[in-house]
Amino acid sequence: MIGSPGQEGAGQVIRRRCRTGTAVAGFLAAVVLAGCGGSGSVTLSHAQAASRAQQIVNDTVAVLTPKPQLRVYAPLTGDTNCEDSSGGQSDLVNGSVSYVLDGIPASSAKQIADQIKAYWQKQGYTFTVTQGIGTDAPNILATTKDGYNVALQTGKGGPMSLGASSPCAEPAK
Amino acid sequence: MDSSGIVVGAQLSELTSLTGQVGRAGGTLSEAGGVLAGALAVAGLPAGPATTVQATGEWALQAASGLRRRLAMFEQADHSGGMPTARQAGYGLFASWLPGEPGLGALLDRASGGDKAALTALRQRENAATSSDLAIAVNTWWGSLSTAAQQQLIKSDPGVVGWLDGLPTTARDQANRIVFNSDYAQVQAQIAQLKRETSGDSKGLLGVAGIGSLINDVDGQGAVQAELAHLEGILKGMTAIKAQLEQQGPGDPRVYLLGFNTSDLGHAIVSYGDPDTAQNVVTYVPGLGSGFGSTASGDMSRASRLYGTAKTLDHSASLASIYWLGYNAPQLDLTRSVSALSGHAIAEDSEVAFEADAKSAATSLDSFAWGLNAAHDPAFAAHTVVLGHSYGSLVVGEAVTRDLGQLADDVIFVGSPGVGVNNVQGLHMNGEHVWAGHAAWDEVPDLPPLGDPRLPEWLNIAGMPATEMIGMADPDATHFGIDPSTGPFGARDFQAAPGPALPPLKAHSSYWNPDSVSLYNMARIVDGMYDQVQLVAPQTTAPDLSTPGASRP
Repeated sequence: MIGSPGQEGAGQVIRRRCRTGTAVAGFLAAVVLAGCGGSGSVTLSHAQAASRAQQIVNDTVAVLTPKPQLRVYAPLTGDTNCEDSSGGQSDLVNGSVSYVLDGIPASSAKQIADQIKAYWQKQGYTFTVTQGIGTDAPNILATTKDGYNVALQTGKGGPMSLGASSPCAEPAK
Repeated sequence: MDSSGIVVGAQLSELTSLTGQVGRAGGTLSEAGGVLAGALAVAGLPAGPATTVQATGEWALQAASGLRRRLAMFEQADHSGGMPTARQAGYGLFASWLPGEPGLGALLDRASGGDKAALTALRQRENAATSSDLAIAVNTWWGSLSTAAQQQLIKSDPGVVGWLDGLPTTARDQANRIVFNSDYAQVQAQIAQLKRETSGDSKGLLGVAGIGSLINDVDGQGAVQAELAHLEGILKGMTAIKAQLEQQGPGDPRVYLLGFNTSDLGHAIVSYGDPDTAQNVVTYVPGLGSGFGSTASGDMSRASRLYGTAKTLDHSASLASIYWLGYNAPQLDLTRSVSALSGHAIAEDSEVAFEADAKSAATSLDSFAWGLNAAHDPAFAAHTVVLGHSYGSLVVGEAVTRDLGQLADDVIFVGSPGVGVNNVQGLHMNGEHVWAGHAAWDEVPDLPPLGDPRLPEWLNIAGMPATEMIGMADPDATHFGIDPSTGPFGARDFQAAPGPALPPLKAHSSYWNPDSVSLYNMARIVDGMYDQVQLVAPQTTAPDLSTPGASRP
């Protein structure tokens, strides 16, 4: 049942081509999933990434009233291959943390969203999405100055979650 | 059936009683027909009425027999905890007869006995995906087998059984893990053997270190090295899959192997969560260059990340997120292509070949999706979502156009070079449930057609100087249809972060970035939270493609 030998994986081919800078064969090579040459400048360690993501969440929660309890509920959302490197095929990872915010009554959703938005604004984050502000289902996405994605999301039925994800980092040894 | 014996609005005991009455009436009518025939003969009258009565009696006897078989099926389903669907009951009613599937009953009978040729033929029929009912027939056939017979088939021919669409997830998973474990050991052994062969000169041909490799090269040892590299790639992918199969963190779903083999560049179908019981089922089709040696790790990450994000947004709904590499994704062996073919030939041939590959893959995807549908808990229908990225969006588009549109509730395209048709009408789907995402810096959806004077500039942007292609192809050619995220297509264009501008093509891989708007949007579609999907405001003017990059975000 072992397959026949032969073709080299496309990812390998593309990476080599990018290093050498030779011309591409067909225009559809542009469809290749991978970007090229992305991982050489990574200096962020996994420990640093995870620590910083956690710090962002902690700092954000610190300004909230009422104070939520952080509950881990995020199956399979731990460290995963980093898409910002060579098409998700590298060994680099995103350091991510995600929590459900318990203890926030639906009536406080608007208040929580306002506080988070104001705090992130003060920190100079760039907003991608500010939806449902003023309702009981706010969703805010932003990016920190150092490239971390942060998210306040309202799930089905009202639970809010708060997450932060790092740029590409070296995997834990 | 519930504890009161109710099956789809009828009482099983009553049906059994009625079936008995039909059988008894049939016997009585047959006898009456015989008596009537004698009486008519004595009276010197034609025998026609007696024949009719006798024939009616015989028909009733046959009908009673068929009804008993169907009732037995209900009872079996009840005992196994399941409930037959209307389609399964229909299969029981008409046995294995399906339009366009002649001889299916005989084939299934042979397969029941472990006939490997019959099993293979069954798999081939599924690959042709001529009937969406075939998976129902296969599912019902499998359910009719004893547990011992099922286990016998799984163990005797796991490589085929593991790919049979319509079989329960647990059966496929068991079969594919058998194949996986066997192949894993075999690949490791082959690699070790090849390494011994290629390093055999260390002891020295003629006692001179290095001369062996010199001679080996002359003897074509490069082929051995190529095979070694191929196997190491396969092993890399298998190691990534193994890690997924073994992972079971707190709160993590069980991971199922719904398909696996190492032929060609390898094929694998991995599901996070059980699709047979899930309320939401999303199948992700990766694109060009995919092969589990090279891309499985990253592609599985996408499926798992989508699982985690969708579950975060909807804790209560059960979910299965599937990575589907059930086809031979086209590969670009650039080194060979450049040396062997002119740019023109490659450009034309590749487009034709890619479209053909997509059509072939679409039948497999169709069959797989209908198989999931057939194996799903009949108590409720899954919310079925199909997601195609890059070239995978063409595969999905072809499948949806072909047949899958009848089954899929939502279809998502991201980073698409076209989906085979130019509008949602071509997909035979309601545009409200066709979704498209396009990161602003993703060059792929914007690639101008062959012959378009803007193409070389775009290729340069993507780091692909190919000026030799200017004017070589039909200026009217398109890729695989228009970008589905554009207004005329009629899909719902959802927001995606622009992605990084450089290096080229990085934005093409940005749709699953954690905590990104595109990932949350895809998760909300999977969860059916349509109202909270972030849509792109309709454009009032056509995008300016003449200056790539300059007019972006």
